[in-house]
Amino acid sequence: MSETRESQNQPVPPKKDRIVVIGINTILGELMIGHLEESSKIDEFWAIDLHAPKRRKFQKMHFLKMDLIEPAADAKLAEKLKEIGATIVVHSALKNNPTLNWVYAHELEVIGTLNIVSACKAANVRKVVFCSTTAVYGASPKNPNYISEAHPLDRHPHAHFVRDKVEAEKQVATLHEDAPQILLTILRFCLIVGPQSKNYFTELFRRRVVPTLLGYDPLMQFIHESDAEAALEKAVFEDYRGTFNIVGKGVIPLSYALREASKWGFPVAPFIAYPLMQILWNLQLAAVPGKLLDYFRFLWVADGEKAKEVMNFVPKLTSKDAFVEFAKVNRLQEYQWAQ
Amino acid sequence: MGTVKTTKTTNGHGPHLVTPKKAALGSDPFSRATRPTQSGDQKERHPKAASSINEASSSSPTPKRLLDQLAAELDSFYSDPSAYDRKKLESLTKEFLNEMKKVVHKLGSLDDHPKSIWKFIQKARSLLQSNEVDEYGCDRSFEMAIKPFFDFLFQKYWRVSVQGVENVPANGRTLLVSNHSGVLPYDAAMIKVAIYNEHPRRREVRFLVDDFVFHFPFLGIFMNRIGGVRACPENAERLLNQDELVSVFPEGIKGISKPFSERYRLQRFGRGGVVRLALKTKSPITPVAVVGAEEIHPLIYKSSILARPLGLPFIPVTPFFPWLGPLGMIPLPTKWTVVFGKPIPFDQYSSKDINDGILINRETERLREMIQEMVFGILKNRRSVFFG
Repeated sequence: MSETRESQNQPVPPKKDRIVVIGINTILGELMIGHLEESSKIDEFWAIDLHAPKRRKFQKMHFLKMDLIEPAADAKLAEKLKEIGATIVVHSALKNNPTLNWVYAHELEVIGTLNIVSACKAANVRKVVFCSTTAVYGASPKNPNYISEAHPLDRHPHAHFVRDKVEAEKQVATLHEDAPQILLTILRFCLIVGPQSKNYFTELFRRRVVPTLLGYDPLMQFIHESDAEAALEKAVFEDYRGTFNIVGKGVIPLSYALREASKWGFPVAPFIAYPLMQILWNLQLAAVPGKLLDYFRFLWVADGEKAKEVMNFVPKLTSKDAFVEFAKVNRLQEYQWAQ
Repeated sequence: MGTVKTTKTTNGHGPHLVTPKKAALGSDPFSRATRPTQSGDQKERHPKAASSINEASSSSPTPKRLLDQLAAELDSFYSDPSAYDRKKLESLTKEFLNEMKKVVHKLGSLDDHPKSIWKFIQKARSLLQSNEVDEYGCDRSFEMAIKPFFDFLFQKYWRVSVQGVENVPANGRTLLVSNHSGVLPYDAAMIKVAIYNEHPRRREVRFLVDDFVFHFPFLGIFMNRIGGVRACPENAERLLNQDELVSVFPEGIKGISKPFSERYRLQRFGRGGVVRLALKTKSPITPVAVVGAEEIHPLIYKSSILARPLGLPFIPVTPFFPWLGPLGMIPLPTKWTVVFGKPIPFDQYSSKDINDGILINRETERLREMIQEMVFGILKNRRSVFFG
């Protein structure tokens, strides 16, 4: 159907958008395909990843197995996108967690994004939604209390995890420069918490005793999965150009969050904590590398005003409630009978 | 119906499942439910419920067992709804909900040992802190919990006399610009207390805190919880746009680290950030003069080299400080005077003027001289440092 429309050179986009989700094993990708499956607005969608989803069966989904980092992946992807007649590409193929295999993570996030960007340019899709994170602003003592979208990204990130994400953002920014006809939406999510979510933060906080930094108690910001899903839905089904911070309402200090969840903070002096965590990380005994500890020390709270004004997106849960929800579910999961 | 059946099938090995996993959480949420004395109490309180349980099983009720009973009852209810006696089901449901409430209550709190020291600590903490902060990290409960100490300083120790508090607008955005002195920023606290205690509207002051304090271990947390915000243009702008009362000390570190010989001589007002901020947000500036804070820690010498490894801007040397140890950190009981001047409006300028460096510099200098005059005016009338 879309091919005939293309041959007629009609500038009007087809009524039903053809949505392609790239990276479905990340939390945002999972939320996206889960939502698309339930949504009545579309009849089918495409998913591209290396591994098919295992948790549930999708009726509307066409799964395409593809490695984004293999040579000439961009040409292959562009061909696929043209074949599908894709109008919307949702790029959520960024790792949730830091990994020891940072070479692969770099390939996937930076080169993979490069490939996706060039494929989108070649296939001339209508819209690209890129799921990023507010971690790209960097945790620094120089940050203002609320970081706006115009704030420059972290210039010298220590951690590979953040560095790759910043570079991926730069790749996506070239799409905006080279192909302004493509509607580009960048969503920067803060820490996503919820029953499904698995990221470095939730992994750390699933434990009973959580290491914290002695003398520091930063304000943290969380968004619940359901709110993240709502934001994604808005970005996909409505058209908003630009970058948006998708964050929960309000902030909560780390120690208060721990108390709400009845967990114990174990304060460690920063000068010990950084090398210690790095060693534990290298031995795969800790969920967070030492280099990421800045995110538990300084402010990196983003301002969600723009999303509220432009996208009309208002999260249902506050940061505190989101965290409490996460903690509750986490505790319930520990009981056999509650599953 | 399907779920009910599955629970019924697990009923066979019910007794094994009733003993809950203890290792998972380190606490036993069912401990209260399985305690024999409590179940006895329940029997007395809910005779109807207790009798129904006795019919189903003789052992003490646990959520799991109750669930199984409920499943059985529901099955019989579904098989013949018209002939079923509802009371039994109702009492069972009530009982189950009670149990669930207990479990949820347990899940929500850590205290499985009611007399443990942790519970005491938690209670003590809950007196001091709430479980929520506002969007800048200020905890009102904490603020109120420590306020008596600052009230003591304000009323008894430094006997602060406040003049012209009516010059602080009752509502709307305002910048309070003050001179800074006294090694530790007690003057910020006193301005906050002065406005809270004496202003008819009891306005809350947000004070901007210098970077080194804000990121100093513990001190930074403390400052944040009592309403301090890191001093940077973005934060100040955001606060003023929310019509807050913002207190700033443009002298910064230079102000609190000036030696005793230079007391009450105002230092350079930064690079004019305050005036630029006032122009940008069109907020009036209320000049504030604080007298008495200079003498609380008479600074004879400051060492920057020793301070560097500690992350401090300087280490003060006063007649008391390093020599008397912690006792030397007690400030002297001088008599303080805080004077609020008439607000200076800044809404006559247009947005173009923000880039006019000369104008900003001129206004900044005018502001500085104004506060300097106010300080000298108070000093002229002061006869004694300690008695005013």
